Amino acid sequence: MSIVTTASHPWDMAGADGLVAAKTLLGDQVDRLAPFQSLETTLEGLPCAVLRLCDRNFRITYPGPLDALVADRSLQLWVKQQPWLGAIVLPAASLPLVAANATVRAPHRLRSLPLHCAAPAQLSGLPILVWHHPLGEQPGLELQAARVQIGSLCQLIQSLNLGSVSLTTARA
Amino acid sequence: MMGMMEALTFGVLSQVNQSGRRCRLNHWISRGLEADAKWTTTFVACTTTTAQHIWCNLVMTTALKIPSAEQFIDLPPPLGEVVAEYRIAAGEAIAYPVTAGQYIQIVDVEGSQCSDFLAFGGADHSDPLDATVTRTLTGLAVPQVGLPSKLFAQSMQPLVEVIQDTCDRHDSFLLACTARYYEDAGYPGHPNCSDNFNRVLAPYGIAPRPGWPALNFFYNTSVDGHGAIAFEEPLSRPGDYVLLLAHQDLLCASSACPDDIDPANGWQPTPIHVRIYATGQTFPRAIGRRVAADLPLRMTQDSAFTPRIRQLTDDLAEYNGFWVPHSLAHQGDQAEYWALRQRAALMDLSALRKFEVQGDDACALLQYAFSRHLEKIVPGQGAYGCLLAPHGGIVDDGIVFCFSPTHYRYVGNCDTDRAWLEQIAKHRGWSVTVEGVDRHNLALQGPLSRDILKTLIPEVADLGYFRFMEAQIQGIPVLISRTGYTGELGYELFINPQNGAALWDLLMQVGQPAGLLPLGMKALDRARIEAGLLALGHEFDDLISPYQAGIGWAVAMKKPDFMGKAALEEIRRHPPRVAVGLVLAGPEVAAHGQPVFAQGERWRVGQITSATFSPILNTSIAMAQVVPEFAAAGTGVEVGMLDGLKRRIPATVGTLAAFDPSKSRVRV
Repeated sequence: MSIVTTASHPWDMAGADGLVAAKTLLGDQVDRLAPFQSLETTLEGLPCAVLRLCDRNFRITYPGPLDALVADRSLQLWVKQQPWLGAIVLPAASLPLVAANATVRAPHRLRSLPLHCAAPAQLSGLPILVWHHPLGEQPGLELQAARVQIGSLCQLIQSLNLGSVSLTTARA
Repeated sequence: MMGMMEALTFGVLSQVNQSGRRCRLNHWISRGLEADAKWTTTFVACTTTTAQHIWCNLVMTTALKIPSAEQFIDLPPPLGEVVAEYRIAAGEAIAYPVTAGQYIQIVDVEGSQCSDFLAFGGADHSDPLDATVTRTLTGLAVPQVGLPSKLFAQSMQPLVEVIQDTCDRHDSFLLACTARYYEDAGYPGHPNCSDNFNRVLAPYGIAPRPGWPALNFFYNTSVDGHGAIAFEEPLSRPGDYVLLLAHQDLLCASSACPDDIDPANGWQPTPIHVRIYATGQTFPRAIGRRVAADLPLRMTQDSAFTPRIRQLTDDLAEYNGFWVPHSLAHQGDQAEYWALRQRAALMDLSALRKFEVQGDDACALLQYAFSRHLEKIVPGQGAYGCLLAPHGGIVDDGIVFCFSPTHYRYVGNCDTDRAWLEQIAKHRGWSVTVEGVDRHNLALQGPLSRDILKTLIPEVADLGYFRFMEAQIQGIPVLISRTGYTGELGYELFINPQNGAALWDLLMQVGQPAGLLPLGMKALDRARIEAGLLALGHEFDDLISPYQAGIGWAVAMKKPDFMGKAALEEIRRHPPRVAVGLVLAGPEVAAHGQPVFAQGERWRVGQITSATFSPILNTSIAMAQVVPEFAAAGTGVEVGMLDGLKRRIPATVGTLAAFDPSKSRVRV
């Protein structure tokens, strides 16, 4: 079982004009997302996933310089890549295993978490954001966590895994 | 002071041993103390069972009586299997252990009495209840029954959870009363909860504090707009209680606050009773609400559809006595909203109140009490309007359905509507009965709602706007009205609650191919604001006339006489404010109560009543009530955000319904 660092570092965008900026960049469809829902789209010809975290907060897996795209728009918002955020990626099939071992605070639900949805959770006390969304050709399960805890998270997943889940990628 | 003490009772009443057999261990004093009893010495008693240790500190010399617990006829009946109970005399405090899964019921025996509460979790009771953590994690001044219902420790772990609450007014900001408080007020040496807690917690090795930060049940405090914390007499009535579920093994402490120098206990401290219920029991979550002095406490209830809805979400909130969903899990209010506007949505509106109005004078009563001209309403038809007060204020809004000239159904919002209608009928000498009818209702709304419902009842294709029919859906008797609260084509289906699950399943099943989604209150609120539909407490109350609320069209002034007519004739000429819609510049959303200013001026011309971001209009909108001089369409105003000074947002006056003001979609 191997853990590979592959996933691109997402951009976080938030502010009074967070929704305005998201709609300008990505279209009105982003306003159809509820918090902790996501969609796949393209930006400047590059594929990206957009996760809405709050009314005006978004996380975008854009491989290019997102901050440059909003720099001259005179909007009240910040765009940055959080240096303290990391992630690992699991196959979507691992969702039942993660759900069985994680705790989630209501009203979030992890069991049967649909594609394009996310939920904050704790795995053996370790805070994670579970994001179920397409990763490349396949649906995947991205577990975002504090960067300093990615190693612990990997160990934890492997200890839970019992050989039934293959860890595929990680970003630390 | 001793007169007050007559009614006091101290001590542990009963305890359950480890085998579960109920046995009375100790009881020191009960009711019936002599009026001249002298309380002069300190009496410390300790009882031990194999499971629990209980300490009580008493100050008394009165002869002891040992009655059975059953003598306490001053309490509401137990909610379940009691494993221990304690009577805390006025002015005293106790400490008691609770194991995870047990329930703690804290009863205000005589009413208007505070009971401060401490809990200690963790090893060696090292993790105390922390009100600041609790407020922060719940987002509430005091935890409420429902989703944000837990009381947390300093470690941010839940200690207990509020399961039932019949008072719903408590304090988490102030300390349990302290010696310092009384000293500053000129009462040095006055008994106080903090010292009482220190004494009863000392045997557990818990260090004393000059003041204990507690969760103060029944303590009626409030924070005003200037940040001042005020307190008043508690709202609790005799027998009001809080029911808590222990999430871990705890040491708890409760007081019967001794404060007799201010209104905190109504100037007259009285006892508190604590019951501990066994683990493994289930008590429904409920908040007790009192809506009128002459109506009984009403506990939050499930509708006939709630069990199905609970399968789809944990995000439920109390609304008008029922548990209703905010939004559905993994779905979100945006998806629900768009299902409503583009396809169809299903929502539970059972919190509406239904009353049968029957008798020879049924028409006369409603013709007088209700704003619409009911002689124009034929059987099978309904009319939206409002019940009126003599001064022209709106008592409630709702729909009257006509079955016959001697049989109507009023569907509104308030439990008090029945008493109001009965009062009018009695005063007028009319022969009519008004009875609540136990019907729960779903609303199926959206442009595809007719197509969905037609698959079950083809006749709905011909059902006109504000018409209703009685039918059966696969054997389920149902009243179907073409009404709604969304600004869309839609229907409401009223049924006997016993058929709730079957109807829900059926509608979800037949609606699935059309993209039907269940819809929560967040999406519903967005839709009703777009449609300019009123909400009690936002757009109207009994101080607001139909002309101010924007439903002057629903007042049949040509009727010869009706409740409030004289007042409304005056108000109609120049209502103090009128309802308008506002379109705000930019995406920021206003909030209820925010001021509306004249452009560039210091003075207000109105205030926001409801606001939302309209997805379909892609703009921020609001309903507002403004002075008539600023109510013309196209008038520019400014909405004061935050404190009204830091930021103003330009807005333009428009129709009350920002979306489809001609109502073309509901009439289609």
